[in-house]
Amino acid sequence: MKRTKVVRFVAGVAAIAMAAAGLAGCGGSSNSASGSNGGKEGDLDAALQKGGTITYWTWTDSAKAQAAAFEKKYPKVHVKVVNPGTGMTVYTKLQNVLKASSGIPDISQIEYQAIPQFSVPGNLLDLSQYGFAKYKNKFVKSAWEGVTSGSSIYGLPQDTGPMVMFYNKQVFDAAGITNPPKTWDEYMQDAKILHEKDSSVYITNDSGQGNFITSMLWQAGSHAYKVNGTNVEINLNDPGAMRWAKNWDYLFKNHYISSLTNQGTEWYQAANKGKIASVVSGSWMAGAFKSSVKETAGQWRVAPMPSYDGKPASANYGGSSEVVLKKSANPALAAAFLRWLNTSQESIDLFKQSGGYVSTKKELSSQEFLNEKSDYFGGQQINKVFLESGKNVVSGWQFLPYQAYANSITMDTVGKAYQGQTTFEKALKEYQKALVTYGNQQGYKVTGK
Amino acid sequence: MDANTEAVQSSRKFGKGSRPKNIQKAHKHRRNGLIGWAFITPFLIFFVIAIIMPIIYALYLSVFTDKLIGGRVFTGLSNYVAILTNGLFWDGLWRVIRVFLIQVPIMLGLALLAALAIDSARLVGRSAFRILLFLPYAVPGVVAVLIWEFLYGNQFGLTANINALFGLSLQPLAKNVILWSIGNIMTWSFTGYNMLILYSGLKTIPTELYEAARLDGASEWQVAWHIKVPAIKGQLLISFMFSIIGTFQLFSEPQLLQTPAPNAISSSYTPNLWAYNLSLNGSQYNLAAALAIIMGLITGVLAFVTQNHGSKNID
Repeated sequence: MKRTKVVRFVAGVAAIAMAAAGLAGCGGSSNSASGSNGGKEGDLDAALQKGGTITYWTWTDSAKAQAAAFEKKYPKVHVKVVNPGTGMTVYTKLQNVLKASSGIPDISQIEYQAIPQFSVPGNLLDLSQYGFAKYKNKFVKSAWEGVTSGSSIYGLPQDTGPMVMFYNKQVFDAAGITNPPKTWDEYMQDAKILHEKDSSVYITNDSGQGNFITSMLWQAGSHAYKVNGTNVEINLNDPGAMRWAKNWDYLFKNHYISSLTNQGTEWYQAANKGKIASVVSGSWMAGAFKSSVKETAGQWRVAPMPSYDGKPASANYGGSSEVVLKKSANPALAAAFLRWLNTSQESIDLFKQSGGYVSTKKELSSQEFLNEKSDYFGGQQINKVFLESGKNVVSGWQFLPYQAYANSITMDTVGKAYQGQTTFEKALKEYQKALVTYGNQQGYKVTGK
Repeated sequence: MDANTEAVQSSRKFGKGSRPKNIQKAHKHRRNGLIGWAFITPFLIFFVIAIIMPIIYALYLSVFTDKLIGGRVFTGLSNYVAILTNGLFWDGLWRVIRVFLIQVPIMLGLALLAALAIDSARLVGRSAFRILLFLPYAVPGVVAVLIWEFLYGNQFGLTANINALFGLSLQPLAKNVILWSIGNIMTWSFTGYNMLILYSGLKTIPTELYEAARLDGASEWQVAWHIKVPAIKGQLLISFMFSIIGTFQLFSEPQLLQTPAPNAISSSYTPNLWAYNLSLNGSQYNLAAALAIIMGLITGVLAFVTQNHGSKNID
């Protein structure tokens, strides 16, 4: 009898354990901020001569080829390329190794939106000490703004995702619309015309994605987040945000918009069958169209995204940079690699060959690049549209120092507006409350306006 | 037969009431004990490293609070209070309880029916049937959700076709229905698995019992109900236990359906999903640890009560 009880007890413990072990996850010891400052430009070349090993976290396709080319040029340096996942997964892992103070990479790929999450708590090396300020004019403005804060430079841009409108010309033509909408007002009218003409056709689809909403607010001229060190002011009901909210209220209230998720199973069907008339997204979306929306190849075109007042305006949607972690054991060597990675012709060419959309002005404005015709888009020179959009990115947008998390909880609150249970204005206000609470819990001084 | 009866029987072999008997008995006991430990050591090492230590670590984490700015401070039980006073926790818990109360009986009922059908020898193509039923369990979760995403699609998926054919307007991914759509996926995935557990139980019943019952004029249904089902109570209990743990830890189905239905599944849809989002997206390991411990306790208590109660009934 006794033994059965023991068995039962063990079974009970095991059950608890099974429940808890899956969740326990990981954490780490407290973090301390200390770093090396006061390097100079000459240190980089010296470090390259001396050699050593550095670790580079990235999910870029061309990373291995770039590292190999670098090692060929600087045989004393060994670059360990590690692919820890994409986006959010990488930030989580970075956060973990930073807490544990071990296993920290020297260089990591980070999207622009996540830079403040690491730069504000002091985890990134300020590269201005190595004279990186001189690269300012090499990159498009919005990309450079993404990696800098005041006079500090936290990384070098790799690629950008200027937003454009992909639209199915045939679907628009069938509804008697000859020109793609230039303003959001026109867009709203077209939404009505398209859906009334054929109830299975929607002007676009949106199931609600935090980073998409963020970029839409950015384009609408919102300055929802004002970040000054650890002081943050949030106003998701500012005039810019309200311009977007009003339009999305209209689309959802009248059911002129489909609730499919971009690049979901059903979305591909809808896009292939010409049921989705347009998609506002980053330039990178062109690749997804070419590879997976083949049935309607030749019908799609690229146009600047509609603006609110007729003057061109756009935002970035996605895009990455590379940064040097402050706790790198060999910051000069890491910075030297980064310099080569994102400014040398050899490396940029490798990145371009793998299909990347570069952020350097020279490549973006080369005639060869701009005159490239895309058969998928009916022979259109789409790079010209992307370039224009990149130039028209609304300046002055700031991300939250916890933007990645903010994007992950957007739909908890804003989702209600997508379901038609509340207005976007009210939903954004709720979202703001959640962001203020979280920020203050995390030690930032956050106020909601 | 347990250790005590074994010892009694062995002592009988060595004659009556003499001193050596007790010594031998003690010896045998100790040796048995050592061999026992030797057998479970490999498991124990794994158990301590993979389960006990993470739990202790989770307990440790749960009484601190780490901030992005400011580092770690001891905060006692405040993480537990924060979880238990948060409506999101109770909403999530209530969701898994509803799944547990409704989905588990349906699934186990179907599994039992299938196991009895396969065992009845009246089914043509038994092994094919068995494999087919088990197949969904072998489909990786991610693939399964892709399949269901298509089946549930009310614009271009199977549901759209059904809606068009019968003039319905089913929306399996709508906010108020999606929990049952998840339950449906779980039933599809795990009925075969439970069927296999129950079927293996049925296989161990001595066939003499059936012959005896038939001689007494019992019908196939009576055999099933009065002999087979009572005989596999143990297996049913195991299936039930697994189901408790499975439903209270509901995670992958809602997590994967978040992509096609982001506004129907919140980041705290089930307690496990919430813990995942708290720690992985929000760097709130401490809250996640407290939540994990709370959920572990709830699941553990439920499993313990079930087992205690269930095994008493079997005895």
